[in-house]
Amino acid sequence: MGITSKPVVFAVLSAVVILIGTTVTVFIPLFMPSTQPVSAYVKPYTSVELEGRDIYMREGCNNCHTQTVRPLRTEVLRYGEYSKGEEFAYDRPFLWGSRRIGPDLNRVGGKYPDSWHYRHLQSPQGMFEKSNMPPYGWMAKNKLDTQYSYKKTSILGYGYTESDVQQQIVQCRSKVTAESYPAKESRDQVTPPELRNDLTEMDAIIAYLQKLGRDVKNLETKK
Amino acid sequence: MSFSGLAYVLFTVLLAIISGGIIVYYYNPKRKKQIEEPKHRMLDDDL
Amino acid sequence: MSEAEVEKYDFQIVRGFAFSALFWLVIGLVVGLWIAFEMFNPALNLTPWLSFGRLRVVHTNGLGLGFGLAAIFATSYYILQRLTRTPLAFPRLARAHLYLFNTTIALGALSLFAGMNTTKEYAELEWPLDIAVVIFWVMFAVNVFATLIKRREKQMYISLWYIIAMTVAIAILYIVNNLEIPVTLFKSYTVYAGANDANVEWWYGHNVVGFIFTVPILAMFYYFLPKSTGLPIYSHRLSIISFWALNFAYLWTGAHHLMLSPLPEWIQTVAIAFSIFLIAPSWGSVINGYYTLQGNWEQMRSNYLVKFFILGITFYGLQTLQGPLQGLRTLNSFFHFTDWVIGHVHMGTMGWVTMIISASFYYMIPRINNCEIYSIKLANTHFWLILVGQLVWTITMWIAGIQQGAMLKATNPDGSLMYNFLDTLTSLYPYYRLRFAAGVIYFAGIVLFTWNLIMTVRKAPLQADAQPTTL
Repeated sequence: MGITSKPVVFAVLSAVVILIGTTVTVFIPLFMPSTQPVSAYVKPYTSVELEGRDIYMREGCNNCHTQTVRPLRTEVLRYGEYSKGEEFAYDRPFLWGSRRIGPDLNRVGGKYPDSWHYRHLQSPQGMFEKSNMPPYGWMAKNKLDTQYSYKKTSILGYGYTESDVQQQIVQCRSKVTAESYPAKESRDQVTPPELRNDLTEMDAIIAYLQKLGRDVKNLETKK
Repeated sequence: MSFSGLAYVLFTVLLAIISGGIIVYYYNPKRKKQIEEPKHRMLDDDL
Repeated sequence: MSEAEVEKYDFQIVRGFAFSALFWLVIGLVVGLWIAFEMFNPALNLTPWLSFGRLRVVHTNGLGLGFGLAAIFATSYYILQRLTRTPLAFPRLARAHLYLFNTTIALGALSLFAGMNTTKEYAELEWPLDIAVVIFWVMFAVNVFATLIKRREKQMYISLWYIIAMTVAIAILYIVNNLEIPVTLFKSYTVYAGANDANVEWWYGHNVVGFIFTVPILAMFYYFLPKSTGLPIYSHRLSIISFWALNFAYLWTGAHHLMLSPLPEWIQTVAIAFSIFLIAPSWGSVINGYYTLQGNWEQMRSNYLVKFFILGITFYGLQTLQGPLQGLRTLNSFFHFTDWVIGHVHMGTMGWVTMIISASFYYMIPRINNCEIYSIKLANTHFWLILVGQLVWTITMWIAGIQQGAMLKATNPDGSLMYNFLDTLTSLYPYYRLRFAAGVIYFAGIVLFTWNLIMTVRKAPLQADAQPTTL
C-alpha cells in the first residue's frame, strides 16, 4: 500500500519535499542581488588583514564575539551604525556569530589605538580584572606565516597581484616596526626581541580588528 | 493587494489545500485498518 | 524465523557504535565542563589548544557528530534490521563505516584542538574531514537502502521513514554547506560570501539540528517506546501527517537564526511563519507519545524506561514551543546572542536527545547481549541525576539570558546606556558557577549510564550461558 512500502520512492519524495523550502529560501536567494549587495566604499582586506582574519577564525573568536550590529536603538548606541549587507561582500566565510560572551566587533576598527589592542590581547585581565577572555600573548611570539597569502587572496578573488601582496606585507611590517609607530612601546613589551623586526600573528590580528567597520566609518566622516 | 502579498496568500492557501488533502486521504475510515497495521506488526517479535 | 537466520542479524555493529557513542559522550562532556569553568575563571585557558575559542567547537562537534551520530548509527542499524526483519545487507561495509567514523571524529577533535576551524557552526571541520564524513555517510546510506530493498516486512514502520529522511537530508545539507575551495590541506575558504554564506550556514545549522537531534531521535522514540511498553503507538496516521509536515516545514526556518541581520527581510519573515507552523507536527509526535500511554500510565512507576521516554518527549514539546517563540522578532531582539539560547539548546540535547538515547540503549544493549540490564537502580539514579542536572542547567541559563538581555537594553532617563558590556557579563558569573555545578551533576548521571552499560556487557556471557531463555 502506498509509498510506505516503496523505500526508493519514499526517499525521492523526501528529497523533493526537503528541497522545496531549500530552493525558495536558500538556492534562489544565492542568485538574487539583494543577498549580495556591492558598494564601492567597501574595500577587500589587505593580505595582512586577511591573515589576521584567518587567525581570528583559527582561535574561534567568533564563538564569543559577533560581527553584526542589529538595527536596534540600544545596540546602535553601544556599538555604532548597524550592519549592512554590502559590508560583508568580501567575507568568506561570514563571521556574524551567534552569541555575545564578549561585545560585538563589527565597529571595533578605530575605536581603540593599536597599543590598546597589544595590551588587551596580552592580558585582558590586566586591563579588565573580571574579564573572562582568554589571554593571547602567545600570538606575539609567533611569526606571521605569509607563504600562502597570495594564494589566499587569489582564491578569494581580491584582485591583487603577487607584488601587491608583497607590498602590503612590507608596508605593514615597516609600519609596525618603525621607531615612530605610536604603539611601539606596548608592541615591544609583548613581542620577543628576535621578532620585533618581523610581522607577528598579533600584528596581523590587530590589523584585522582595526579594519572592521572602517569603511563605513570613513564613509560617515566624508558625509 | 500587492502582487507579493497576493503571492503569499495563494501559497499559503495552496499549502493548506495540500495538507488538507493528505489528512482527508489518511483519515478516511475505510483505510484505517490498513494504515494502522504496521503499529501492531512492529510489536510482534521478529526473532 | 528460524534460529539460524536470527544469527545473521548484525548486532556487533550496533554494540560498536553504541560504545563509540558513550566514549564520545564522556569526552564531549569533560570538554563541556572545562569550558563551563573557563566562562567564570579564565585561568583554565592554559594553552592555545585549551582556550575557549578552540574548545567550544570540540565540545559541540564531539557531542553532535561524535556522540549524536554514533548513537544514531547504533540505533538505526538495530531498528533497521528489526523492522525489516532482514539482516544488514553489507555487514563488512558497516564495519568499515564504524572504523572510518571513529577515525574521522578523532582526527576532527585533534584538528579542532589545533585550530583548523572553518568557523561555520557545526560544520567546523576542514575539507579533508568533510570528505571523510561524506564517505561514511554514503556507506551508511548504502546499507540502509540495500537492507530496505531486501526487507521481508512489506510496510515500513514510522521509524524507518525518519531514518530515510535523515539519510537524504543530511547528505544534502552537509554537501551544500561545506562547498569550499582548498588553500592547503588544512585550510579552505567557503564558496559563499557575506549574507549568502550566513543564509546557507543557518539553513544548515538549523536543519542539521533538525535532522540529527530531532528526526532520528523521533525514529528511536517511535520504535523503542512501543517496544519497551508493549503498547502500540497511538496513531500511525497522525505520525504520517506529522512526518511530512515536519520534513516540509523544517527547511524554511533557518533564517530565524539571522533575525534583524543584513539578510533580506522576506527570508526572515518566511522563516518566522514556518517556525510557528512547526509547532503542529512537533506536537503531533508529543501527542502520539502521551496517548500511547493512555490507560497504562502505571508504567511510569513499574517500567523504568518509560520515565526517560515521557520526560524526553515532554522536553521535546517544550523545546518546540520555545524555539518558535524565540524566533519572533520582538522576543528575538531581546534573547538573541544571550545565554537564553544556550539554555534552549541544552534542554533539547540534555533533556530530549540524551533521555531518549539513554532509554534506547538500556532497551537495546541487554537484548543484543541476551541478558538483563546490570542494575535498574543505577539506571534510576542516572535518570534523576541527568534530569536535575539538566533542569538546573537550563533554568540557570534562561535567567542569565533574561538578565543580560535586560541589562543590555537598559537606558538611563537621558537615553544613555545604563551598563557597559563588561557589567552585563560579570553579573552572570554566579549563574555560570551554578551552571558548572549542574553540569557536574549531569556528568555524574552520564558516568553511571556508561558504567551500567559496560557492566551489562561484561556480565552478559555468564548470564546468557546460565539462562539461555532470558529473551
